[in-house]
Amino acid sequence: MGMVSMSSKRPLVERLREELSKRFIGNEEVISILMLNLLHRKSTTLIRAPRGTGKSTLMLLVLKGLFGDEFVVISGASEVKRGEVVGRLHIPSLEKKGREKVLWAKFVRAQGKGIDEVNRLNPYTTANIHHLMQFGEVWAYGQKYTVEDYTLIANENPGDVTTFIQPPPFYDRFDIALYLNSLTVSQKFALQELNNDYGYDLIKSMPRVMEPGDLTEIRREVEETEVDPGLIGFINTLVRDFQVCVRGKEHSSIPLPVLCEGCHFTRFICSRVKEPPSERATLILLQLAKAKKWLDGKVEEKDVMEMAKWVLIHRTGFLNPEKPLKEIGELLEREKERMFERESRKQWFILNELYNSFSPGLYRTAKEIAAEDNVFAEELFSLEEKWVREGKISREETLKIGLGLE
Amino acid sequence: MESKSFKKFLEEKSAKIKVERQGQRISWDEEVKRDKYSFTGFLEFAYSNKTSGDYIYLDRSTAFDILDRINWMDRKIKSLSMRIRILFLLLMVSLIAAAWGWLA
Repeated sequence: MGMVSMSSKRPLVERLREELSKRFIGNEEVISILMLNLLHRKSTTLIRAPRGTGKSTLMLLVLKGLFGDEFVVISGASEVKRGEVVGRLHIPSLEKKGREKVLWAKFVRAQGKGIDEVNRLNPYTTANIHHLMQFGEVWAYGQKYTVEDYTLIANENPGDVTTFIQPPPFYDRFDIALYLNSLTVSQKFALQELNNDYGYDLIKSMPRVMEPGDLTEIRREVEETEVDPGLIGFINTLVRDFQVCVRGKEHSSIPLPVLCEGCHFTRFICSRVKEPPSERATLILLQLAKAKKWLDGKVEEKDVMEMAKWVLIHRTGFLNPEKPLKEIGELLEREKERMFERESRKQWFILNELYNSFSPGLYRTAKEIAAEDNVFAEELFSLEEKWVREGKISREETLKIGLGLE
Repeated sequence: MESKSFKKFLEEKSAKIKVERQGQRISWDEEVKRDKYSFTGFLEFAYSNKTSGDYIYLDRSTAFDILDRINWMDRKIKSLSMRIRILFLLLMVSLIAAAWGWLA
């Protein structure tokens, strides 16, 4: 993987991480991915944890470190009015000039946004925030406000009895979802020492690490960072492994595992994914890979595997959803082996050769490989279509017919 | 549709692989690594005590070998079943003969 020249802004990110680590005990893995996710434009993070594990503390520490006191937090636990989230009418303008002037809410205008207990937001507020995250704009009284770059951190306890069932597309707008663990005994001691050191107000003690323009500059540099095609291919293949279904799961009303009965690929990752992740997973993984390269000078496939856990966990509907962390961990372990096997089989080389020119011998090998890899099979299907049209092979000898898919 | 970046990805992957080209023929050397992921061959799986990967691959000749052995076992089972039937009939006949002799 190529190296990147060191940015003058990198020490700021290191300092933010240090200040955060001084005040937030445990969950180091989560802090690393959170730091990376802050480095791209319109960053959104969801923190999921049971009550009292520090999800609000982590959210406030990050916002304070980036924006000082210039951030806005709304809470799902209190009554949130539309005027506080989106905007309200300026009454004097209406009364004196008959003009509908909208006073846009601080939440919309602030670069630093926090949502405490997002699972308890009423559906109307959720819809407004969803629109903001999706289109980068908000509407009130027929007027539009375009939102510039922002950092949004939300938290929730999914086990809370007052939880609203928020729509999956809303959660899909969060780049990553982090799960926090409760503290071990030694970590509890460390937390008590910290509280003593900082006078029981960790948030107040957090310094502002960046000036207003610093984050914008960092994000611009990260956006311009280039990642090599091999790693982009790795990201695309990884996400595709979680999406692919040769039986058309995406448009089928037949549920899993019934749909998989008799399928050639029944032992693959696809058979344990009920709802595949959206394309956003690919885009976010690429952003995180760029951020990692910008920050550490390099990014490798094993880094992408680590990142994938937090990018896919809230975007994927698992067949066994009871323990999502365990399930995603197992599927990613399988994925590591599949990636290794792909390299051993030299299948991308074979596909490249077949793209350049049709060869009966390589086509036979490719068919054998495709029987072991549904993602590769998809690519071969499209090449076969071309060859059938060109009269190089007959439809009867295609892999699709061989697998009984047509 | 074939994208430029996808082609670039394929080319980058291909550039790392050393192949020998002789006309239409392409050949390459397979590196054998002794880690847990490389153990995916069927013969190693069948005859080794070490743990294998999750997936076991067969080359065509091994597959034909196994098919041959299955067919041979099928034929053997059929012939043995026939022998058992004959032996069973002989046993029944001898039992009937013995019973006949005892009654007479």
